[in-house]
Amino acid sequence: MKIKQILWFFLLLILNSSLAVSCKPPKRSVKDIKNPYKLLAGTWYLNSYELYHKIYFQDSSHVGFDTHIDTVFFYNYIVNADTLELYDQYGDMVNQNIILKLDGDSLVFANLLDKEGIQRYSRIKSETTKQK
Amino acid sequence: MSASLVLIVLTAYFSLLILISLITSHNANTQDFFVANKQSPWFLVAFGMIGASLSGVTFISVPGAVLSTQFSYFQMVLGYLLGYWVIGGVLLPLYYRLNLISIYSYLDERFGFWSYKTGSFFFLLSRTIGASFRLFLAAMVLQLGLFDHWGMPFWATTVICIGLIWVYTYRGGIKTIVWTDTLQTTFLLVAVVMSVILIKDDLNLSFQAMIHQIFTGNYAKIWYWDDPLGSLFFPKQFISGAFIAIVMTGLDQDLMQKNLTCRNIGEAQKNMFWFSIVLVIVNLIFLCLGALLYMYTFEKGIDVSSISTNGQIRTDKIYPFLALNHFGLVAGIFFLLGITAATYASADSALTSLTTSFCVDFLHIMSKDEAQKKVIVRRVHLFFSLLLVLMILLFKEITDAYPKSNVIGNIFAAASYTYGPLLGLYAFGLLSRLKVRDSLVPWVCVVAPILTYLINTYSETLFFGYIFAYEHLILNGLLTFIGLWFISLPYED
Repeated sequence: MKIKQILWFFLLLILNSSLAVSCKPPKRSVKDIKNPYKLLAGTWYLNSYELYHKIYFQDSSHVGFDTHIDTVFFYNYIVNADTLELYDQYGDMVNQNIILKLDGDSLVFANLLDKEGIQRYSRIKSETTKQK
Repeated sequence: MSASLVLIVLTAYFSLLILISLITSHNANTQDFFVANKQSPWFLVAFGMIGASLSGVTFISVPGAVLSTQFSYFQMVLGYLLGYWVIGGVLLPLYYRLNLISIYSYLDERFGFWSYKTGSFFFLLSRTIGASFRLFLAAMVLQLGLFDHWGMPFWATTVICIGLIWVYTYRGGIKTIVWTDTLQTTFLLVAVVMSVILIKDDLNLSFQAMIHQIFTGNYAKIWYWDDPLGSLFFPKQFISGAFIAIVMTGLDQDLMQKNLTCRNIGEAQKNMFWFSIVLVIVNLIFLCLGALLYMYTFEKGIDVSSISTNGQIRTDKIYPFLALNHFGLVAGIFFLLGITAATYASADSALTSLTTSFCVDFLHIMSKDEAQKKVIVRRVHLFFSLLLVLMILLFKEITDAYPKSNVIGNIFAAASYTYGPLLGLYAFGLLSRLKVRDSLVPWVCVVAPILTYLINTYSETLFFGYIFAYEHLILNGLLTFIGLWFISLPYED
C-alpha cells in the first residue's frame, strides 16, 4: 500500500512539473522581437560611473553614447537580428554589439563599443547616481 | 666667437642628430613616423618634452624679462601645472580610448566633417606661422653671426636651416624626435645650468648665498595681488597659464603626438605628471638665471649700451650678449648649443606634426596600404619643409620692406588667435551634450577670433581701463562656445 502511494506521489509530481514547464511562455530571444526600435527608444542608464554611463536612442536611427567624465558620441544604428550595429556619419561601420536581453526595463549587451564583458542598462536611474 | 668655431660646433651637433636619426629610423614604417609604434619609454618622452615646449624665443626672453616683470612669470607657470593635470586627467584618456593619431579626429566623431577640418586647419595655420616665425629668427641669427661672413645669401641659410630638420626627421618622424629631443633638452639644460654656475663662481657666491641674494634682491617678486586691472595680477596669470597649457599643449598635435607614443594611458599620464613637475623647476631655474644675469651685469659694471635703446636694456638681448661676450668660450659654445637645441626641438616636432595632421586629417592616409602611406608621408614632409622655407623668405621680404614696423610680430600674434576656436570646440564637445549644425561651425570659428581681436584692441575703452593680457585666449574660446551653442541641436528632449 505504502509503495503504491509513493508511486502515485511521484507520478503526480512528474505530471505537475511537465504541466508547469509546458505552460510557461517560451523565452523570447532578441532576434524574435518584431520592433526592437520601439523598445530601445529613449534613455538607458548603466547606473555606474563608467564609460558610456548613459545611452540615448533618439529615434529609430540615431543613438548617443554619453560618458560622464568627458564626452558624448552620436552614431547611426540599425538592429540586425540580435546585434546593434553602429555607423558613423560617412556610413562606415564603427562597431557591432550583441544584445543579450531587451525588454521594457532592461537592455543587456555582451559587449559595448570598446568595453568588453556584459553591460547591463536599465530604464531607471538609481538614487545613488541621481545624487552624483 | 669666430665664425669657423661656430660652424664646427653646429656641424658636430647636427652630425650627432643625424646619427641618432639613422639609428632610430632603421626599418621605420609610417606607424613609427606617426606614433613611434606606441613604444616610447615615458620618461624619455617627459624629458624631451621640456625642450619641445621651450622654444628659442623662450630660452632668451624668459630670463631677459626678469628685469621688467621680475618672477611674475612663475604665477603663470603654476597655472601650467593645473592645465597639465587637466590634460592628463581628461584629454589623454579620451585620446587613448579613441586610439587617435591626429587629436583632431575627435572633432570628427563628436561634431562631424566640417568641425574636424576646421580644427585641423586652424592647427596647420597656426603651427606653420609659429614654426616659420621661430625659424625665421634662428635663420636671421645664423645669417648675421655666421653666413654673412662668407657672403652666403639668406635663402641659402634658410634652406640649410630647414634642410637640417628634414634630413633627421623624414624617415623616423616622431620615433626619431623622441630621442633627438632628449639630446636637445640635455644641451638646453646644460647651457642654462652652466651659465648659473659660471655667474655664481664669478660673483664669489656659495650656493646658499646665491639663492639668498636672488630671493632677497630686486628681481624675485613672484606674487602680484595689488592691481586687479594690471596684466601681472595673480588670478589673471594663473588662470591664463592653465588655459595656455590646456590649449597649446593639450589641444596641439605637436606636443600631444609625443604623448601618444607612450605604451599606454598609464604611462602617458605618468609622463605628463613628471613633465609638469620638471617644467616648473626648469622655469624657476630660467628665472633665477634672469636675476643672476642682471646682478652680474650691474655688479661687474658691464657696458650694455650696445643692447639698449633710449637707455633701456632690450631684455631679449641680455643673455646672448653676456653668454657670447663675457662668459668665456665654453659657456659661449654651450649657449649656442642651448639656443639651437631649443629652436630645433620645437621646430622638428612642428614639422612632423604638420605632416602627420595633414596626412591623417586631409589625405585620410590610414585607409591606404603601407607602400602608398610611405610615399605620401615623404611627399607631404617635403611639401611642409618647402612651405616653411617660403614662409621664412616671405617674412624676410616683409621685414626688409617695412623695417620699422613689427609686421612679422603681428602676424605671429594673429596666429595665436587660432587657438581660441580649438578651445571653444573641445570645451563644447566635453562640457555640453548638444549636437551642432556642423556646416556652420567654420563660420563660428572665424567670427570668434575676429570679435576677440576687436574686443582685445578696445578693451581699455570698453571695460573701464581693463587691459587684456593672455585672457584673450579664454575670451576667444568663450565666444566660440557661445557661437556653437547658438547653432546647436538638442541632444535629449
